[in-house]
Amino acid sequence: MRNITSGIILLITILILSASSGHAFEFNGFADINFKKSTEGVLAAARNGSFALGAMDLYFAGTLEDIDIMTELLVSEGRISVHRLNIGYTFSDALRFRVGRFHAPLGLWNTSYHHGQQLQPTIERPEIIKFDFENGVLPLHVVGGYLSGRVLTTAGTVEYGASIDNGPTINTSNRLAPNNTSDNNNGKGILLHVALSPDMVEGFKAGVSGYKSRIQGGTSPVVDVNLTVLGAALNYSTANIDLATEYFSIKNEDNSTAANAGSNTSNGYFVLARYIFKDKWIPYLLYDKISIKAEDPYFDKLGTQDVTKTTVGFRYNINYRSCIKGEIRSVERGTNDWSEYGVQWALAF
Amino acid sequence: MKFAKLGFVVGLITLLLSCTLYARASARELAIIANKDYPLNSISASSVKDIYLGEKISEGGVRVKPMEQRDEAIKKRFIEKVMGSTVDGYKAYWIKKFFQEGVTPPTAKGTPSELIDAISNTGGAIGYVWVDDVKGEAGVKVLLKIEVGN
Repeated sequence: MRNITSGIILLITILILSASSGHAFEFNGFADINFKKSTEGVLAAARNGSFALGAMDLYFAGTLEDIDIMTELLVSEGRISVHRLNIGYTFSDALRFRVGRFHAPLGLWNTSYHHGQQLQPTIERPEIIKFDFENGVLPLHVVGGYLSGRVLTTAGTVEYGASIDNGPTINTSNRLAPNNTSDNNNGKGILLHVALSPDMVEGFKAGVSGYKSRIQGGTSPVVDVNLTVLGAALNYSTANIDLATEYFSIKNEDNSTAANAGSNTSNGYFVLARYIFKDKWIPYLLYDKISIKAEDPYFDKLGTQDVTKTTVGFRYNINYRSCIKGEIRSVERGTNDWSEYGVQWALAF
Repeated sequence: MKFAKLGFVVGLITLLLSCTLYARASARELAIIANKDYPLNSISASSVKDIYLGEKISEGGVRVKPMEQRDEAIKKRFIEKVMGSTVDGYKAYWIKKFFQEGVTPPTAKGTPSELIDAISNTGGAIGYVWVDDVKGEAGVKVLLKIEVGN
């Protein structure tokens, strides 16, 4: 109840700010409602089929005397959480500086769709880039400082960035969590990324990214690893065709004194193909996979298993603010496999 | 009979030419205007497009502040002829851009005079109005004129 009251107060404040003529604040939001049915195991809720409230995503940004501020709040199941909150300064197109909590620019998807379901091409994120609260394996929310920029070269547009952050921890629910208010070790997270959109191939974008951090935490015995993530991403979009693929290699060096402590490398990737017909009708196919080393204490602590998922979906854009998506998924997780059916109505406001 | 045919053809050509000349004479122009201290004195149409897509956010160390009128007619003409998009496509683009990068869409002002006043009083401001609306105001300068049809 307290959370909801705080949320309402916050929302009113945002609305007042956005309505204020003195400042150029802009306010947007996203909402979605879902239906999901699964043939998975013994979970009655999954087998019965369930309607589910998605998240209410509230977002505002603005510039106060050349200082940029932006925040993204997620209201889900009565809880409000801050997913992005940063302030910064834009020196030029080639150099922007931000501090706060932001989405790690690992790959291209994570900074394209954030939590906005209406923007996201599919109902669910590919497994390898699921968020920490969805039991994801990559540190996609980070807290720290971020320098980024964009320059036009003779080859095309180059985007780049570097960040330093607290690095995540693994909380007592054995999920990744960004260290929002303090760092639980001195191994800062370092991230570098660069992407090129060449002029000679319109709609094509290729990017690479890398992240390194020490991660400690979880229930006893705690995990202590040096995580290194290397990623590569390709996007190609024309008026009708949209292709996206991302690959991540995840290396963990075990810092524990266990006899079998060593280094493990796992990987995950996805491929998404969409055909866009008259900007309204969009059939798509998503294939995604995670292959982990079973002896890796990091994945063991997070409870991650090998996953292979094939999704066949269809999206209908009702207008530029609203869409309906329907999906059939074939899922193999560990030694189990099942089918899922999902429908989502998503809205931007 | 021959003369009648010739007369018809000449008449038709004259009519077509007149229509073309009339259309050219009455084609409306948009003026891209900026604050008098804006770092440039002229601008290309592609740079205007970059600014209104939020791709270009600074010029010569000055933060660029794009503005526009609330009037849907001029907005539609600008979006279709200069941005090469549809109104819905442009709005959808800004929902995405704003959400992805925190870059705010152009600030909307009510009337042409309100827009010109705002640009006069805001460093780095840029906007578009019909050419006829610019009356030599001291606080703004015209960077570009773009013909946008009737």
